[in-house]
Amino acid sequence: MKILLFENVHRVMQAERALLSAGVRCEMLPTPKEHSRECGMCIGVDAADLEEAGAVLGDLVRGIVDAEAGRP
Amino acid sequence: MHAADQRLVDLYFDHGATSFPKPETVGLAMLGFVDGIGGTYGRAAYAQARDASRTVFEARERIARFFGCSDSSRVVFTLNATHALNIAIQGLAQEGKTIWTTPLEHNSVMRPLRGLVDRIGSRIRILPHGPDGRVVPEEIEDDPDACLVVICHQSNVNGAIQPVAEIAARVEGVPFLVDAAQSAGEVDIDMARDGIDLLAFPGHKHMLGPTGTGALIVAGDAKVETLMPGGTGSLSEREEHPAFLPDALESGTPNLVGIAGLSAACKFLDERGGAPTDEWAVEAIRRLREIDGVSVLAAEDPRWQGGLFSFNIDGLSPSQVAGALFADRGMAVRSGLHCAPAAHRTLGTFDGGGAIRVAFGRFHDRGAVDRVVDAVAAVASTRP
Repeated sequence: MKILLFENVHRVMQAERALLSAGVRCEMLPTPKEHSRECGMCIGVDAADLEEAGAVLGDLVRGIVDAEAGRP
Repeated sequence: MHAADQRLVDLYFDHGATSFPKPETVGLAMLGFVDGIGGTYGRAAYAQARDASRTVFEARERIARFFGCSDSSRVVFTLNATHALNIAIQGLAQEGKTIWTTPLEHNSVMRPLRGLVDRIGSRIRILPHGPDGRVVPEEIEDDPDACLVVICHQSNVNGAIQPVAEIAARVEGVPFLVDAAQSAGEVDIDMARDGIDLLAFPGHKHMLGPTGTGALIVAGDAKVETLMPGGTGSLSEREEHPAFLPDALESGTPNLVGIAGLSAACKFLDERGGAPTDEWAVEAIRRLREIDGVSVLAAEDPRWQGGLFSFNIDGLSPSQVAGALFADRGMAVRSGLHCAPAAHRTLGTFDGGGAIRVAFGRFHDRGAVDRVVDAVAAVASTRP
């Protein structure tokens, strides 16, 4: 799974709505601790959907990281 | 549409202070949040926090659309219009610079302005206007020292509506702040169409939401300094306050229950619209002026009349009249200066203790005009 980071919770909500509208599966998650300088919420997408998610969200995304080790 | 006692609804004419009743969906949304969601906004990702965050996001989206703002991140929730106005006024004022305003302002604008005069040497100047306080846009001159223009969209005393778009066109380049305390939810406002940079409004008046809610919408690119830095759920490892909206101007946990109610109220207005309160006011003003001893404070041109106005009865003080209306008819009106001494000075009613205000509401009908006119005529007939 890939983790998408955002500026703040408003952008997370905006991104979630855009992804769901575009039919991209996503999950709202707590931001991994090493990236907690960003917003406390982030969005996880399957690695296979990352390209499509990026196309939908564009500049909204502030960073992309791997899910924490041990997380499914 | 509402669950209140209809007799109370019929006799309530203090919608300029706060609206009553609220749509039934407002209370249900608030209860639904308290009992069914209850989580915090942002800051976590468990189901209740997600639902609370979605509630706030949907409210921002709905409000942004309602007022013609294309970016909902620029909707900053506040406690009320006064809070929103203070953020904008104090956050945009510059030392020694001029702030232009109207002669009909409420103390929610005049008191922050007076404070700025004392603290940083701001200069207050009044825009050119007619006898009813309506600004004459074509007489506005350029002012290179101006840092802000703030106007009360609809007077809370005589109900005169300012020509917002025309004023905006004349002050282009200077941040233009509109106090929509009396107009939001009653007068059509489109920030993009009307050239409004900043809009301050309360949730609890004609927006029909609960008290303790309001917003400042920052549509332009003006940089507003925060009044209240604090926790935002973003950039948590830093002690510097974020610069991006809405976080920059919205610290601490917002009034989530109230925002759920305000969102439901905005949905109600979206779907069902308002009421022709301005038409009722124009009719009531015309009929009251026919009563011996009654004088009315209103817009000179009825096309610019909003859904409220004030009046006086010769020989009786405003408080005597309001007291009689309540004692004889159970009618709820507000007498006095309406927290707007500047407006009463402009309209010549300051020394006499102000006036009695009648404000129509969303759940009235045309019969409300008859109730007002009959009741005022009865009190006027008792004057010494």
